[in-house]
Amino acid sequence: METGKTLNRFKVSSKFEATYHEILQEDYEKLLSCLSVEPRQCIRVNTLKISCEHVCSMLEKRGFSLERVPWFEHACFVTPPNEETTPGKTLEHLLGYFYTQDGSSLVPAIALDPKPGESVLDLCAAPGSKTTQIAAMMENRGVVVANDKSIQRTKALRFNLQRCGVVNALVTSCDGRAFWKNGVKFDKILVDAPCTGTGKIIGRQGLSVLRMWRRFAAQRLSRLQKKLLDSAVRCLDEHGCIVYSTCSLDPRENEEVVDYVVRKHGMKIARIEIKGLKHSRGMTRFKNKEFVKEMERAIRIYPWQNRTEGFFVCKLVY
Amino acid sequence: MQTRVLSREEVREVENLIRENYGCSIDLTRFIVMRTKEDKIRISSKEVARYLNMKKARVLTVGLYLGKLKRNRKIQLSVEGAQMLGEVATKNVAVISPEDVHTFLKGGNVEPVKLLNCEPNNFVLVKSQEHVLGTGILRKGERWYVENLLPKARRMLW
Repeated sequence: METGKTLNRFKVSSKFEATYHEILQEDYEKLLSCLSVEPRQCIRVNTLKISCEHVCSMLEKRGFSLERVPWFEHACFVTPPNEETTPGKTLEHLLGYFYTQDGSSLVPAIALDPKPGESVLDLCAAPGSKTTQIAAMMENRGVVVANDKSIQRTKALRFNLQRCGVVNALVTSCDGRAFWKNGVKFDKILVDAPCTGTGKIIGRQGLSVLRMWRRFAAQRLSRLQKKLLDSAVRCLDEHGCIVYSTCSLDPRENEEVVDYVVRKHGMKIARIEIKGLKHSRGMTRFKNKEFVKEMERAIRIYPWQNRTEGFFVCKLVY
Repeated sequence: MQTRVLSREEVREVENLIRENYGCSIDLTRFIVMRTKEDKIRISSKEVARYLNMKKARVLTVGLYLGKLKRNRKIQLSVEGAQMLGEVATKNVAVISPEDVHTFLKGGNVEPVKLLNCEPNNFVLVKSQEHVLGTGILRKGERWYVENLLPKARRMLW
């Protein structure tokens, strides 16, 4: 096997190197440098159970230092008092007072902006970080249909919905590509699609992402993502909006998918305003492919910008 | 999922059960209240009703698991059910010391430091300081103790 750069005795495949050099160009080195930096641990306070101030004071008493996430008022970056302690190993976590969630994965639900009383579909919901965030933003009013194809994965989803005290969710198991056949419409839809996860190339977890990376996976997933987003469009109420997101940095899984749906259904890309979040614009071309001009309204979050995982987020409206 | 939506009278009956067992009133009429074939009570927002009969999607769960109906007009609350009632319950509440919180969360039985209108061999809400930790059964051995009913998935494993 041809290999590229060696990192911590791990050889990055030359195919990965070639692919991501082409995508990120001069920023490729920044991506690899993220492997030596751990992402900031982040918690989202479950406002269905407790206030943000209350949780902060509880964790501070346990020796955690906290810093508010600038782009979401109910989330904090946390620094544990020692290496053995993690936020997930606290009484407060066990009681469902907060959810450990990466800072950038808060962004899709912020962009969706669900309101109390609305109907929301989370097409690929497991394990439920964004679903519970949506339910909290809706103050347990309205309805969130949390769907996942895998019944096995819905176990974690159901557990997390219960732990967070979510009343307005309905968990379904259905192939997202065929969800439109149910004939129901929603005000807002989140499609957080399965992806190659290359945005997670930060810290120790980054090496396993690199190990798992396969040359043709992005193309295969791109086909699936197009079908999922296409299905979501058919479930959307005419005044509604869709947020499409992945934790991949590959434009074939992001801009290409959105471009396909925009052209097919005549949708528009809405601008996403998120204060305090460092991000880049969506790509308007990749290789010899031109995407719609509005694609620059989509946002790309790179791991080196906020010391979080990388994400692609795009909001679509009619 | 085999569940039945309860009628208004049946919902009132669940409210009465909660009042009898925990000495507090809760308004369940703002929710859809369902009973599963295992006698579990689930509550969900009313808007969920529109999506209960989808043709292609298999509905696995709806809303929140509140508690399970037991014999002799008893109700065993889930952790979240207990947390919903925790601040207003005036009956069958066992308070444990902060030192015993870890023992309880690891699945052990604990001796309460205070009992609030508790009936022996009935379900009790277990509290410590401002936290509602779950439920147990009050038993009498040499001394009173709370038999732990915390589900395994909700226990502290560290």
